[in-house]
Amino acid sequence: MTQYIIKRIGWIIFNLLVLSLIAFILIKNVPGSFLELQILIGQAGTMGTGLTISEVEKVRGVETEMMKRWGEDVPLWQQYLTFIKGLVTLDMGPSFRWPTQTIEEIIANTFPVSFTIAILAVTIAIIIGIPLGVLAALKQNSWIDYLVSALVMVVSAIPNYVMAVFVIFLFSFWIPILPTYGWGQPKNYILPVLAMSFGPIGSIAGYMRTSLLDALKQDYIRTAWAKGGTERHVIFGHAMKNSLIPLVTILGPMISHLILGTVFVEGMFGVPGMGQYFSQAAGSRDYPLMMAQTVIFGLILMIMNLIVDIIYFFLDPRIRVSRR
Amino acid sequence: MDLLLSIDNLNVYFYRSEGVLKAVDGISYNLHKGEVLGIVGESGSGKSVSVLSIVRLLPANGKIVDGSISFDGKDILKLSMNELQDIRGKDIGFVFQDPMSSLNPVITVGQQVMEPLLWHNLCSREEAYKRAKNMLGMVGIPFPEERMKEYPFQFSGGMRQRVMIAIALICNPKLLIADEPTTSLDVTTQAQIIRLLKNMRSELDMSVILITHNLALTSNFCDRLIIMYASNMMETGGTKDVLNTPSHPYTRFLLDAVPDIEVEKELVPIPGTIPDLINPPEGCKFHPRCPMSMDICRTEKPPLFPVGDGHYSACWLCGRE
Amino acid sequence: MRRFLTIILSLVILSSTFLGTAYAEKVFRWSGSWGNTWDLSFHQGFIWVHMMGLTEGLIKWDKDMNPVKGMAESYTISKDGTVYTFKIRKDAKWSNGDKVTAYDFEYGIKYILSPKNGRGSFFGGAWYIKNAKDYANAVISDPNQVGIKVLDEYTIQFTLDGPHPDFLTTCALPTLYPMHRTSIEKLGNKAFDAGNLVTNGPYKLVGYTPNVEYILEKNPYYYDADKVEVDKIVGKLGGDPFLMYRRNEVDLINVGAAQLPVIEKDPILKKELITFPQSTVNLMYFSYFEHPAFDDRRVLTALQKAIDKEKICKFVYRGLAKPAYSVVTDLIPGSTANDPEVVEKFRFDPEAARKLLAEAGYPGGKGFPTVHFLIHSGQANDPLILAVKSEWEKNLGIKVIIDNYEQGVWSVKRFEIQSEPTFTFSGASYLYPDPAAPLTLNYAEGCLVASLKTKDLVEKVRLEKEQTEALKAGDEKKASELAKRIHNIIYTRSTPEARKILSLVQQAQRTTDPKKRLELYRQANKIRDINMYSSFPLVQPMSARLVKSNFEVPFNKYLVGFPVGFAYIRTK
Repeated sequence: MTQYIIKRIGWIIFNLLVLSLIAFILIKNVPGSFLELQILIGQAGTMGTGLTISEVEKVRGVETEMMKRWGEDVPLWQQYLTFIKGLVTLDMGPSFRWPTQTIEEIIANTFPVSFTIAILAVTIAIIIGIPLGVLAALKQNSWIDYLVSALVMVVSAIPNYVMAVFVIFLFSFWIPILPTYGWGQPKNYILPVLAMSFGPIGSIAGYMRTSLLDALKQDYIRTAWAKGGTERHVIFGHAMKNSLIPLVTILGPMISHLILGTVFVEGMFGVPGMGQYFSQAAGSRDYPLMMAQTVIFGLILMIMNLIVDIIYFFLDPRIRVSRR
Repeated sequence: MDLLLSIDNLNVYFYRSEGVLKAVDGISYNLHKGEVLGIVGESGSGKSVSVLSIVRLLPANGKIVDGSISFDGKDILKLSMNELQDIRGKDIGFVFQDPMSSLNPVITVGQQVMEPLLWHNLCSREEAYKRAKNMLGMVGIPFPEERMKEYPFQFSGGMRQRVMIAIALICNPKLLIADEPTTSLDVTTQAQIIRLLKNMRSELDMSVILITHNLALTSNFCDRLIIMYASNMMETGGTKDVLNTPSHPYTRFLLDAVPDIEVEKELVPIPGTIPDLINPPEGCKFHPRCPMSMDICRTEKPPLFPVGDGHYSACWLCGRE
Repeated sequence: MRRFLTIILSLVILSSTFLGTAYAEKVFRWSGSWGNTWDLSFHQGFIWVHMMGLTEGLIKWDKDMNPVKGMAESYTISKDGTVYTFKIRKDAKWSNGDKVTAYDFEYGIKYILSPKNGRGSFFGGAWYIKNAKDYANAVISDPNQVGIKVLDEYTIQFTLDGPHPDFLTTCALPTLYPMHRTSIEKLGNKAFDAGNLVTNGPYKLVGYTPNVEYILEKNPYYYDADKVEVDKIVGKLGGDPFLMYRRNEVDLINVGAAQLPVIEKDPILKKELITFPQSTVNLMYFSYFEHPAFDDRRVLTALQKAIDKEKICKFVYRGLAKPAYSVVTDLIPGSTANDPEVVEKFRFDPEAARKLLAEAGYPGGKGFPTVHFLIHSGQANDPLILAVKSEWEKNLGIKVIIDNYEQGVWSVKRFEIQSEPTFTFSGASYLYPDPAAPLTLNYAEGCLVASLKTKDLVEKVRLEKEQTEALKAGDEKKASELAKRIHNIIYTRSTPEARKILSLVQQAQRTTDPKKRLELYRQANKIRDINMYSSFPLVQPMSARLVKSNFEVPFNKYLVGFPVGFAYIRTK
């Protein structure tokens, strides 16, 4: 097992290198630069004081000190090596868009927030989603099943920013007990976590339903009935055990998605997470942040997959034994 | 001999979106204590459904619409779920066709063998462990103690079927139902499994219902045979009588289809196909494939005509005499 | 059980209200977005630092935006209007208790100008200082050549490149702010974090969570602290402002045309709504392309006369805008935005527009080239752009195609030479009420370029690209030769009107008499408004704010409608 994990970590590092190289080449070839965008959209758009095109042109090509490592005065491979060096030594320099924060600081400040929120949302989704899915599967084709299936469809189809407005109306206006916005107190977690958990509840419940129904059709379930098992024995002892294993595989991507893809919920409730930083990185050509984003996204996804595989290892004897 | 199981006019229907499928169309038979009954037929003939009905293990869309099943003096169809669960696994043991899919892949073999004892509260966990170990040894699994910790996928096909047999026999049942126990196995293993079943039957003194599509397996194991075709009983009687003097054309076809290594004989495939059971043919279900069919066969369903001692045949050819 | 729940619920609600009212501090909470750093050299959203009163220049604006003495105790201006000498008040203190000195101003202004630090496009009055522009553009590297001189600890002198009467008012803008040298040199980037940031204005920064909120508290060392009424300012940087306002979580929000119908229906909100004009014009510009139709003034007049701006203001903006006929708003002294001649020339008249187009050889739009609107993803839903397209198609029968690009790609496409006639859209705001705010010398020079015929403009751009290549290759000789050719194009092929504007602005900048100066700017504005066609003014938007009735907030019409300063907020 240890050997296997070490091997996997080696692969993760290799994959990250390939990923960052591809990202680097792509990012460096996208037209537009941070400064041009700042000036054209950030300034001239709203506050330009009779800014003329010739003035803008003078600013083009000007590079500040912090941008030098991304500048064109050194060859591309050297820039890439600088980036890798920064990555390894955890000294990736300041973000362009957040010039007084380094990339490491941004990640160190925001990752714990995003991670906590994501884990809480998934936990709630598991606590609510699994029983819902099981209930629907056991009462297949009854009104409960139809209700759960309809619910699953609705919450999966509604984007989480709409859910955000919905929970705000619910808990801040109709039952005015929670603030709509802010950070720092435990109560501030409730609404964003809730808004984020709806989608996962839907997918977990739906997945659990299908997975359990599938397990209940298996021959070994008939065997368990034939052995004189009660519902408790057969469903919870035999069917659930099998249907929970595939569920683990969707949790990995789900958590990584929640860690990184919660821009709207973050903005809506004032959650200081990673999403808002990253969502603006590409649009504003913030090279250091874009690169960090690519690497972090890849890393989270691969680590989640590794964790899923490790959990799988303990849950599924077929893999455990064959890898021993 | 005492009567153990009595089935009378059993009708099982499957409710499908295309229509109602008569899976078992009014069959009746008795089984005595210690007797071995073979039920033979092609797949889809209703032989599995007829035995699954005995413990009411039908799929959700299957329903027993008529008839009665009496097991050990109990009216099965009137039992509550609890009473039924008490019989399953304890008084009636089941062995299914595919030992791979019939065993739970993520639970250890030992646990699966112990479960019937534990679920029926027959003994403590330690005692169950001991008995499971012994039983696994009895069905011919070497090093049972080590192998109990392993999972089904670590066993070969034949070994898995032995595990299934151990599960079925662990509670010392009065009746063992083996539903095509050898179909997914190779020929040598098939013989071993049948030999094992035979030994276990005499050792544990129980009744056995063996379901198979292979007549050859029945000859030196079964006391009595039922030949089924398209949800109906075609012929029944003592194994020797049925095999030596088959009186139903379908039985004769089946016998011709049995591969015989000693006699170099051409396999004769049965002409035609199994009828659509949602819209079955009128009269005798076999008439569209029967080379000897007559006018009456197309309109009226033949009753079981006696053709010998305890030997009956559902064929108008036999009824004419 | 239900009863129990009700009790719990009401306890929760009660306790939260008590917690709210027991707080004696006066807190003002507002919703707005913020730049991404508190380092003044990064000019993103820089202006707001000023508004929030974190830092204060030698001059500050009073609540009606008149320049008054801030950190300066007194000042003298040389006769020729080029040397400004300020005496700093002795009681001026930083938020950590240090005294504010002339060195802090020298350090701060040079820090902002330095090409090594952050970079913005607008330097305001700082560019009037001798050699400041060259230093900022890295033409010269010695900061001592910049016309800033510390005479003693409390006296600082600025030498300008000419007389600029508006220099005084631009001293209130952040590009001429002091910075706290010791903390920046000691802490580097960390000096701009909450808690570390040392400021000299009425407030100090005590908390900042990026994307979430910042908290300002009164600076006890501020010389005028007695007159600052609100103890604490909370800026909320996200959320749905309208929901937060209605939930009583913020006291001030911006509202747009979309929310107006809801506000109109609510008597309380209706009372709290404040609207005021803004010194901003939304415009459309020519891109670089070559087409004789766009050198024909009849065509350009027709295009402008075909846009029903009244209708757009009424329906697209729901009254939160007024038609604009000049690129300089009427909030700027010397503006000719309301000059009857200007308005008449470009007023909506589809008949006249069609006639002009027909005279130019395109009756009913026949034979007229397809026009492209080059927009970025941020503008994709801008109803103004769609309205202009539909007006032109309907009234002139010409075809318009909208090309929507991702912002970064747009920023590059924007400067490419287009094969077909192309427009881009933007807005222009003027930051302080002085005629020179829009009409800088730079702008006047820009007018020369803007007056070029399309083919000359394209030629100029081609030469500039060659020049950049030559500079990259290190061919100085070729580059300077190209520069000469570019200069030639600008000065010989531009229109006499554009050259007249330039000379008027040059003249105005040398004029110290305010009346004469204003008249010169007015003339320049009028010539531009009537004769320059490279940009079409569309509308002048208005700001709409909701302010809780217990606060009185003076708004700044020049800085896109934010409060003039938090120090001026009063409670009622």
